[in-house]
Amino acid sequence: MTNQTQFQITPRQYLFILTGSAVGAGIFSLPREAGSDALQDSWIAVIIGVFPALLSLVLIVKLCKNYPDCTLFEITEILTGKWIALIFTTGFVIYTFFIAALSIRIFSEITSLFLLTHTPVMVILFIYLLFVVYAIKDGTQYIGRFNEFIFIFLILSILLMLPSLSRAYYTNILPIGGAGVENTLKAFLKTTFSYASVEVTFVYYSMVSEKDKILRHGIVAMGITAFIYTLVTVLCILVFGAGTIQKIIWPPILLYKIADIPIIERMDLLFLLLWITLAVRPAINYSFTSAYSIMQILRLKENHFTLFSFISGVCIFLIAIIPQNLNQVFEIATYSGYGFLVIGIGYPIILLGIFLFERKTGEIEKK
Amino acid sequence: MHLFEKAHKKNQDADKDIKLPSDLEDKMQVLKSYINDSGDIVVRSFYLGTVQPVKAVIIYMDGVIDTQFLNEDIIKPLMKVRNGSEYIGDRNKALLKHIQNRLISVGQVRKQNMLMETVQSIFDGHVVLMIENVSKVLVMNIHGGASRTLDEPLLDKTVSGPREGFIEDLTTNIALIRRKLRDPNLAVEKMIIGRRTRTEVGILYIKDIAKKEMINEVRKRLKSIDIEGIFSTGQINQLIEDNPYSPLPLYREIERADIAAAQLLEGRAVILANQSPLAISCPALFEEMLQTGDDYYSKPQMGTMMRIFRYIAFFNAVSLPALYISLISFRQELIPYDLLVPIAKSRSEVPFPAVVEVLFLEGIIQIILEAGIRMPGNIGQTIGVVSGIILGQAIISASLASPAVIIVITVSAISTFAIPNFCMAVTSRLLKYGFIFASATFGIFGFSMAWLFFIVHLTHQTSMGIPYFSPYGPLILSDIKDTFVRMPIFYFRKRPESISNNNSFRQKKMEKGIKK
Repeated sequence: MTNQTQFQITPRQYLFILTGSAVGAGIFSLPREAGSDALQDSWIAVIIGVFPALLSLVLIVKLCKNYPDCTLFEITEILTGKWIALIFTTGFVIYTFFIAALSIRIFSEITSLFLLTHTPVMVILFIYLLFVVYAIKDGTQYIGRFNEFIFIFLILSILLMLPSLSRAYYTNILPIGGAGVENTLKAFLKTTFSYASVEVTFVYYSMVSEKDKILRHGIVAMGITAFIYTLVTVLCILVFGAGTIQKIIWPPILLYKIADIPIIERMDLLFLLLWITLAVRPAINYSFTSAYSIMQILRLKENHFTLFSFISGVCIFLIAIIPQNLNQVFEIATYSGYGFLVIGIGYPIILLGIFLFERKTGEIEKK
Repeated sequence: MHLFEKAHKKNQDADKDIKLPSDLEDKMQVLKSYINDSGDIVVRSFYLGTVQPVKAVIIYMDGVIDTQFLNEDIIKPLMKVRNGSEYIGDRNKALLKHIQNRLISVGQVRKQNMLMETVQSIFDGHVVLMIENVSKVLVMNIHGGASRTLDEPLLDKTVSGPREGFIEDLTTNIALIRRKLRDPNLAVEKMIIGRRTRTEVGILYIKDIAKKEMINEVRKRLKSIDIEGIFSTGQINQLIEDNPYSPLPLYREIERADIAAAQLLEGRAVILANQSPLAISCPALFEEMLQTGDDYYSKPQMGTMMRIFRYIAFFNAVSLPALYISLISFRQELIPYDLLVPIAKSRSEVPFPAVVEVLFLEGIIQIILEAGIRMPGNIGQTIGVVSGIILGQAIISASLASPAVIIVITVSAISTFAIPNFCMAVTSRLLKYGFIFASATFGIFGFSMAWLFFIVHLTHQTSMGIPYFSPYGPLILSDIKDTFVRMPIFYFRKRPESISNNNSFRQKKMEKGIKK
């Protein structure tokens, strides 16, 4: 069954994969985390938070451009040799495991809190992962299609937030800039983490059919993500005010609760119905990259991929059940935020540095 | 087993075909073993010519040829000819030529001299003429006999489109398409499938539109079929599918010639089989299953409206009972309070949980539907519906189910019939149980997950290598104009990109409306 086209995506699918990887469960805690320092100015922090991700994207694309058919493992191997490549890629795999596990764990908690109060989280986790493995086991092509189609639900669920505007007080967002530059910058560090998603480019780059469009589509994807994040943050501030947000675990879900729409009694449930489809996307996109990287570390061909999708599913499940409660989940989430700085910005800088150095010394011939 | 071995032996004989002897008696002798057991094969011996007559034999299968034509235009002129023997001897070729060119007035004639070929021709329904001392035989094709007349198809009804449906005869079906599509580029390839049924199968495509690779793939898959018998294109369908384990219909079955012609114009291939009133077109897309010909023949607004309702109907058919279960047994808060009270009141007398209620009624509905097909005449469906209503009333008064669930199940069952494609309708009946199961175990969460699994399954399917869920799955924006919406015809300037083609040009840009 395996053939070349199964592991190929169009630039547009890459765009939706990037937005899909970013906008997941993280959006629910974003307004609270950004608001803890920047208060009513957290939306500014959210906007400028996109720039590190853009920098990371540019660096990764610049690096991968020289090796259009290689993924992270192969590039590092060419540049630094087998062992360092092994360490680098293992770090990447563990990081993606954690991101996928966290996004699924957080959403399982949400599911168990709002939808299935008596079902153990582990069961919900298991069902999510069953779906993740089913979605990734046959290759990138299908992941791309899924991300493309599911994007409609994202637009829908954002639109469903708008009725809450009827309870908005624009004074909540004033004074603009009142929180001070220092506080906004503090929040900026946190918001940066929510844009973690560009590092999947390390793996997906080699699969996009038209490489020259990757950078443009990547930037558009981050633009869409930034727009959605900002919109949600602004809505939360307008409706709840900066102070109240701190006391809510997931402010955006509450946005649906207060929206008044006739016929439908509880909007938040309807929203969760839609959001279930969105929350699994980061898990799908990340677990694919980890499965693919493991496969390459072991130097196996793509027709063994299904096996690795199962392996990565099991690993993610094991990681996802480690935290005892939500607090621990959020703690780990902060650490994986730092992981983004290492993988998303550190890796490409180091590798680009080595690449430029080796090219100067003549070890790599100029293309 | 014995029969099979015999057939196998016969097949082996076919591999080393022998030449027919020239003597008529010898010929009859060798043919005898093949045709002796078949009572419907007519062996008619007569004399060729009135002066110096020559012995000749005509063999044909009764019932599949035009008997009157045979008598009047083949046997009669042969008998009436003056001198039969003047061409005999080493000039026997000349005799056959003379007969072929001057005596019999048949369109399709060919000469043969191999034994198995001749036997096969007899069983294919051709007329075989053998003449004393002439080693070659003449094979004539005068197909006839009883067949159904052209009729409106059973399921694919239309209001404003042509009403001619396919019948069981391949030649007629191809002619029906040809009449609609007088393009010299329309190619018809024929092949034979089925070791014993020897069913003629035709692949139709338009040479300068359809992608060569796709046609090669179709041909390859059809050629790889090795089966004893084919009676319907439905069987071919299952044998050439990309994923035979998917419940989805991966090919579209077509009952009407105008739809087949339209499919050809979109760059698809149409497969027809003899003795089957259904054509299949490949590749097929999911969105097609919710379209009808009338969408194109009526105004775009109406077409769009009906299509959107069909999508809603599909949603209802597949998941309305599941949604009901997940709301009633898990999330009553989602139902408005004023509605919840009467539902709860009516449910208070019902002893079962919502799942049992739904499965119970679903079972009854499925049995009524199945029985409706087998009830005599067109009233079958009506009786089914009436019995459904009476049963429903009785069930409510016996407190076996609440009125709400009856509404849900009935809406879902009726929605099934709003799906134009029969195979998709049946599939939706099957999928429903998956959704019911998921919702009964995990409520709204299960419902959502079931849809997710279904969507991922859709994106995984291909039909002849073309993504089945396109233009939604791989998003092709330019094709959205003909999916759940139906834009005006003058927008269709290019062929759909979902199905790759060689020639995307359809029509020039048109002035819209009359200038005042």
